[in-house]
Formats: sequence, structure tokens, C-alpha cells
Amino acid sequence: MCERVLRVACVVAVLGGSAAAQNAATVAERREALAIARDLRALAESVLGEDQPPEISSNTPVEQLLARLGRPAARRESPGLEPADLDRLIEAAQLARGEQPAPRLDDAAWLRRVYLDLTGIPPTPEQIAVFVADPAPDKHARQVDQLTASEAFARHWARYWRDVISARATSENARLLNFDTFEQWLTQALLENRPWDAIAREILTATGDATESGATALVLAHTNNLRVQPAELAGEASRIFLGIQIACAQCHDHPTDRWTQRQFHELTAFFAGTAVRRPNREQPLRRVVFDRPGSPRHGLPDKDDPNRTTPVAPRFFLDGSAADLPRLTSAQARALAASYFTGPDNPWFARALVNRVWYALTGQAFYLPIDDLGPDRNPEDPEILDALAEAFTRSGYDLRWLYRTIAQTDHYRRERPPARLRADALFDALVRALDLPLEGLAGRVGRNNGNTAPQVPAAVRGRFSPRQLFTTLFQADPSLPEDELLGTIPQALFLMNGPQVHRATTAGPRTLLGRMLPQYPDNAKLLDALYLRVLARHPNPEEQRIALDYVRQVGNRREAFEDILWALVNSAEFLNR
Amino acid sequence: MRIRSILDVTMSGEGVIRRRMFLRTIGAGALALPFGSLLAARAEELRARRKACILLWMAGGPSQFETFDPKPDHANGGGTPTIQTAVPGVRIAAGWEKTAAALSEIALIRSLTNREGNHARASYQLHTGYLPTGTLKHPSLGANVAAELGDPAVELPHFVAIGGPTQGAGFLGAAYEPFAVLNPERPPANAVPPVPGERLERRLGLLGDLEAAGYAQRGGADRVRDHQTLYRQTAAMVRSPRMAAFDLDQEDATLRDAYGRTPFGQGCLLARRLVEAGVTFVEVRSNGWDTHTENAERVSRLASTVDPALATLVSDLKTRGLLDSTLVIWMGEFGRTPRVNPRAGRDHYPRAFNAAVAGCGIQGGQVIGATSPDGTEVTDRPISIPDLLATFCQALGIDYRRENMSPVGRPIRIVDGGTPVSELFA
Repeated sequence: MCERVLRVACVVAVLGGSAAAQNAATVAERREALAIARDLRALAESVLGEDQPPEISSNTPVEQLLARLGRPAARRESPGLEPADLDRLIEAAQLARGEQPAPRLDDAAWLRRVYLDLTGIPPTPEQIAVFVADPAPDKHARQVDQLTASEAFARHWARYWRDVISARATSENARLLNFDTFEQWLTQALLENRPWDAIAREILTATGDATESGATALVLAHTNNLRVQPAELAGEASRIFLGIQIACAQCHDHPTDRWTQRQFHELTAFFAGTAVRRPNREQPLRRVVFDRPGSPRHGLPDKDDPNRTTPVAPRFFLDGSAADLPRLTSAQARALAASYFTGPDNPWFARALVNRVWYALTGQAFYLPIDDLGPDRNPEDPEILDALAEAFTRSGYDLRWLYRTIAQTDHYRRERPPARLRADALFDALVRALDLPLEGLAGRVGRNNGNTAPQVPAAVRGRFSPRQLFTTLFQADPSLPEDELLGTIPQALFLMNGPQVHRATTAGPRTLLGRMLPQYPDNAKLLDALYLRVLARHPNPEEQRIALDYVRQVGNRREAFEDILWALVNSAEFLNR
Repeated sequence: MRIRSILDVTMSGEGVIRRRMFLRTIGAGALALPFGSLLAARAEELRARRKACILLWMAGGPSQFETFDPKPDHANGGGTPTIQTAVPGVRIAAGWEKTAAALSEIALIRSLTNREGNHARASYQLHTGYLPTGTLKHPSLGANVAAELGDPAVELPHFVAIGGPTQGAGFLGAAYEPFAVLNPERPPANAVPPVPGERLERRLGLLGDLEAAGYAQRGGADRVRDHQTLYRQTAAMVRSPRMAAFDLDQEDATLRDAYGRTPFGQGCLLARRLVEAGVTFVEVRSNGWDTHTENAERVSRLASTVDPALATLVSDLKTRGLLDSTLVIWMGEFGRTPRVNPRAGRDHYPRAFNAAVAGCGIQGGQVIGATSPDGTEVTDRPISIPDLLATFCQALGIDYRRENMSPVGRPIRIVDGGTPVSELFA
């Protein structure tokens, strides 16, 4: 309004008052008048301090948009929480419950745990020997520092998130989705210690060719026939990044939470302009994610007739302000959603991540299932959760800091409930324990066995590496409670009878056991070496007695040790960390 | 519901007593006969012959016009000729001669109607009764049936999937995941120990001893217990004489020929052998029904393998007295468009499609529902997907409204909102 008045005033001032004079003005004169008007407005604004923000338009860049809407930026401060502080909180919580701290692990057991927890790869006998012999009091802390900075750490956790997304993919061709690019991209991001909010933002706002932009994986996991399913995308984004299962409110108001159906569809509206196309016909599997021009359109289904909908505008269900959002483009809407998801004013973003990492490292969770948080749930040990989540927020969502702080506590050096190895970790553990060539696990692992045989055209099948075939058989959804992962009959059959494991546990000219038998003529020493190799520890006296008795009873050294090696890789301990 | 299921079909030692007979028994001597003890006796017998289900899955979406709802008098029928069946007045598409002859045991449903036209989503829906959501994996019918009816005394998996992937157990967990058999003529992968049975025994004993002395003493007692349970189950399966069910060579060559020497035909024979051996739910998959091009020719080729297999399965089950306790289902994820497209194909069409069912109390020889002469609309007795799954549960004596708890504590019904098609049981 202000601008229009000024403009008219200037035109009048420059060209003279009469309408005839204005109409007679040349284009050049009118243009000059407008330029003067602009200058005058700038002058007026600077003099009067008038700070009326111009309307948000489709051209407003994301940073300006977020600033104008008052969205807070992430903090990047010192977290102000040391492992010792965390230990004090844990002790206080245990004391309040009348619990004793669990017994401490010995160095070898701790080392196996920290390697498997952080990198998914067990330590070698040599690494165990070096660590156990190290007299330095800070060796545990240094080990954690070293592992959290390693590429193995980045890759292990990239695979974790890959599985989080792929386990719930609703895409028609979920098995064909190219998660390799996602894994590569996230490995690199974690190796750089990119902040968690930056990673989440990239995933929530991803665009581009899926073969180049790994962050597009979540959008593509919920795309059918080139149509993005915004409701699935919004529901999964909320579950994964906030631990809030608002998607339960898709069809009716949430039965046990406060969320309404309307709130769910308002969240969905942020993602309704996200689209996918196929760049050309020659490459039918290629996908490009983009933001459709214009504003996202989404409808709230009518309760009585789901075919009828009423339009809903984007609004974030955790945002308390009642103000309507301005009209946004599809790209702006997603960027704003990402800001709401990851902003330091949203406590659930930090809590959801802290809850997952705490569960993975300590075997305990503040909230269980680990992806079901929210204001209507009561967490265990809220003081510990709050301290960690707030410090993680202060740190600017520094992932490496979070893993380190938890893994360097005294608490982390104590016994905890066992957790099953994830499929990739088990693959690595088998390769290490049995000294397998990677191809040794190829073949029919996932094809003629298990319920998960990949249904793919022959041309694509070549993409499945031995690791992928193996992990197909052993995969599990990381969001499920650990105690529900008990293994399946096909998995047990693979380890019990599978030709790959059988060959590698046989004492042949080219196998591990074939080399070790003459290398360790003493049975006790051979047993010790096998335990170290497979379980990263020494046998206890009782195990030693049982095993050596067994060797005597069988009366055939080679056969007896084949059986022992078979028993070690078929043991529950081998499958757990 | 348990009692209902006993009333629906009760068993005798030799086979099946029809429901009517049982009711007559009660009607005649209700006062003389202590009802409770009769039920107890029947429950005992029911356990002895549990119900089972064989799902023949036509992956890709079979054309209703070239199967059991032909339209010979309309252009949309695509010129597919029809044939007479064992049931007067009921005609089906040519190519299904053997099924036509067995139709007095089979009921046709011509009025299925749905909205989902995407393969993966519709397959999920037809298997689970629910549309897919990211936040919750619903158990498939097979997993639900395995959980409800699986006999713990049977060492074989309760749910076996032959010929390709299917929907899994979802939140019901690993115990009810389908056990996959890709090639019915080969034993399941890794089921044969690479060492002699004696040595496997010895190994398992060593494993148990070492675990008890080691990990169980180091905080892993629960894990060791679960692991030992799984290994006991797996080893029991490997050693079970019931594993012979996987050996099709034990069948008569004539019968094998009758099923058809095709992966699907032999898969159906394996399904019968597994059900006979105590498996609760078997799914056999037939691929290639997504006939966007050359629909008539391709369906005709597919029918040449599915028709003999379906008809022989039904008659074989009948001969062995298993049909009354085994539900056989033939279906796919949707039907195909009434209009034949320019490439002589038919595209996805969920609005009106068909299925076939037999056994387990289903009255064969009837046709449920109808479509318009051009095949575009259901004109009589529309049946939704939840209705269909509720019907399967009813036949199997499962309370389809029963709720299972999802991981986030949400109660999820086995089937949400459907009503069984009661005419099928008339």
C-alpha cells in the first residue's frame, strides 16, 4: 500500500498534476518517474525506520523466508555435558531405583562391544592383544575417539539409516530402489561429522537424480508409479526424525495421542508438491525428484466419503502459534517443514535421535519402541534423556560428540542386555571369523532360501553382491525392539547346514582351520586362538574342559576342531553384541 | 469363536461329519447327551485334523474376462469363447476345461470390487486386508492363519510360500514368517545337513554344552535360551520324517502329470503334500498375469498350467478327505480393464474382478455376484477386500475381528470392517 501511494505521488510530482500531462508522458519519462519513486521509498524507509516486510513471494529465498517467519537457527555451542556428568546422572537414577551398577566388563569384552557397536566390525585377535596390553588409563577414551572418527563408523551408521528407511518403504519397487547412493552419501556426511539437522534437512528437501543425490532415498521410498505419496512421506519423516507416529491419525483422530486427522493432513500438505519424474524412456529405472511449480495442494478426506476432500494448507502440528502461513511454493513448503522438524525449538528432533543412539549403545531406551515418542508418552529416566537431548541441541546436533559422550562413560564399560548383530555386521563378523573370501558367501544365499528372495529382473540381479544376498536373508528393521529379533529358521539353516559355512569350517588346504591345526599343535592353544578369533575372548575353564573332553571323545583332532569351530559360529554369542 | 468353529465343521476319526449331521445329533439327543463333553470330544478331534489353507496367487492381476467372468456377447469380451461347466448355466472362459469339470466343488466370486490399481499396494492389500503404511507392517493372511491355527506339534514351518516372494508376518514377528521354497522340485535350501546325522547331533550337543557354560553365564542366558529353541526347532525340522513331504518323487507319476509338470503344477502338488503333513498355510505363486500386451494369448498359455493344477488340487484333496478341512483360494491383486488396449492387452482394473474358492465348508458350484454386460461395473452383491478376507477367516474358523497388538500398542484386527459372504457357506 505504502509503495503504491509513493509511486503515484512521485509520478504526479515528476510529471505534473494533470491527467493529460501524465498520459502524454513518454515511456522513458514514466520509467524515470518510477525510479525516482523507488529511491524516495528507500529514503522514506531509512528515515522513518519503517520496517514493513514485503510480502513473501515465490521468489523469496529459503533463508529469508525462514528469517521472516521467525524460525530459529540451530545453535552451535559447547554441549556442556561430559561423560562424567552423564555417569553422575545415571548413578543418581540407579540409586533412586535401588539398583546396583552392573559388573564391569573386562578389556577384551569391552573392546568387542565398542567395535561392534560403533563400527559393526569385530576386533581382530591382534587388536585385542594390543589393547589389553596397553597400560594407559585413558585407552578406552582414545579407542572411542579413534573408532568414532573412522570410516567404518560412518559406513555402519549409514547402513543403519538405510535400513531404517528401506524397512518401511511403501514404494512398488522397494527392492529396486538404489540405496547404494544413499549409503555413499550418508557415509561421507557422517565421516565429515555433518550435523544431524543438516543431514535431516537434506533428506527432507532432497531434489535431483537418485543416482547422484543420495538424500532422495526417503522420497523415493514412498513413490509409486512416479507419484510421490505425500501422506506416507510425511508420516515416515515424522516417525524417523521426531519419533512421533502421527500417521496413525491419517484416517481418524489418533486413538492414544493428541494428534488429529486434520493435523496429519496439514503436515502432509508440506510435502504435497514433491514430485518424481523419469528423465528418459531409455533408462526406465532412473528417477529425478523435484518440486512441482506453484503451491502444494492437498485435501483432507471427508470422514463419510473418502473420495471427497477439502483443501488443507500446511501447518506444523508442534507449532503453537495460530497464525496462518503465507502462500508457499512447493520448495518453500518443504524447506519450512525441514526447519520445523530440525529447529532447536522442537525438542523431539533431538530426543528421537538420542533415544536411538542410547538404545543402540546401552541396550536401554528412554522410549520403547524407539520410534514412538511424543508428549503423551512417559520416558524412562527423563533426567538423563533431557540432559543428553539438551546438550545435543546446544552442540548443534554434533553426532560424534553424542556417540563419544555415551561410549566414554563408566556406564558403557559395564554389562548390559545383549543385542543381535545387524545383518551387515554379521556378514563382516563371519568373513573375519572364518577368513572367508567375500565371494565365499555368494551363490544361492538369498535366492533359493528365506522368504526374501529378491524379485528382480535378471538384468538387475547382477547388482546383488554377496553382501546384499546375505543381508537380504538376515535383514531386520532397526526400529523394532531388539528382543523381537530372534532369528528365523532359514537363517539358522544357513549357519547350521549352509555349504558356505560348512566349507569354511572344514579343515582343508585353503581354509582357516586347515592352516591353524598345524600352527597350534597344542589343543588348548588352538582352542584359545579359535575363541579369540570368533568370539574375541578366551574360553573360560569350564568351556575349555568341555571342548578338550570333546576332542578326546571324538578321537579325531581335525574332526573335533571342525565341530568346535562350527559350534562357535553357530552360537548365540557370535550373533550378539 | 472356537466353539463356533467346532459347530461349523466337526470331525470324526475317519474324516468329516457334516455340520448338519452334528446338529441333528444335538437336536435328537440334546438332553441325553452332555453337551460340554461332546464339545470337548469334538475339540480333541478338531486338533487331530486342523484346518489349512492353500492360496493360489496369480501375480500381476488375472483377467476376469479370460478366466471366470467371460463376456462373449460384448466387444469387451475380446472374443474369448466360453465353455460349459459341471454346473448347469454357469459358463467360464475356454482354456479352463478341467476347472469347468470340477466346478461343482468350486465357488466363483464375480463381484470383487476395490480401488487399488498398483501391483505392490494391491498385493499387500489382498494379502493383509489393509493398505500399506510406512509406520506399520500388517501380517498377511498366511501369517495370521499360521498364528491362529498352527500346530505346535508339527516340526515344519506353519506358513510356506512356493514359487516366489509374498507378504510376510509383519508385526507378528519371525515365528510366522513364510518359509520360502522357490523350486518345488528341490528340497528347501540348506535343509540337508552336510555332515552325517550322528555328527550333527554331536555338534548340537557340543553347542548346547558350550553355550550353557559360556554365554549363559556371561549375561546371555535369555539369548541362549531363545537361540537353543530356534536351533531345536530347526534341527527338528531337518530331522523330521515330515520333511519327506518336500520329496515329490514319492508321488505317483500319473498324479504328477495330472497336476502338470510345471513349476506351478508341482508347487500345487507340494502344497497338498505339505498340508497333509500338517502345514497350516501354503501359498503357490503363478507369475505373468500382468498382461498389458497380447492378453488373450498369454492368459491362454497361463491357463494351460493353472487349469490342470487347480482342478487336480481340488479333486486330489477331495479324494484324500482333505477338502473339507482345506480352503483353496484362487486370486490375484486385481482384474483387468474391460477395454482391450491397442496392443491387444488389458490394463489394471480393480473396480470389478473375480476369484474362486473351494473347500472348508464352501458350497461349490455357485456363483456369487455379477458384473454388467460390458464388465465395467459390479451389478450384484459387491464384495470388498475385507469382506473377502473375513470370508476366508470364517471358513477357517478364525475370529476375523480378533485384535493383535501392534508394536506401538495399537490393537489391529485380523480383518478390519468386513463381513463374511454367508451365501458361500449355504
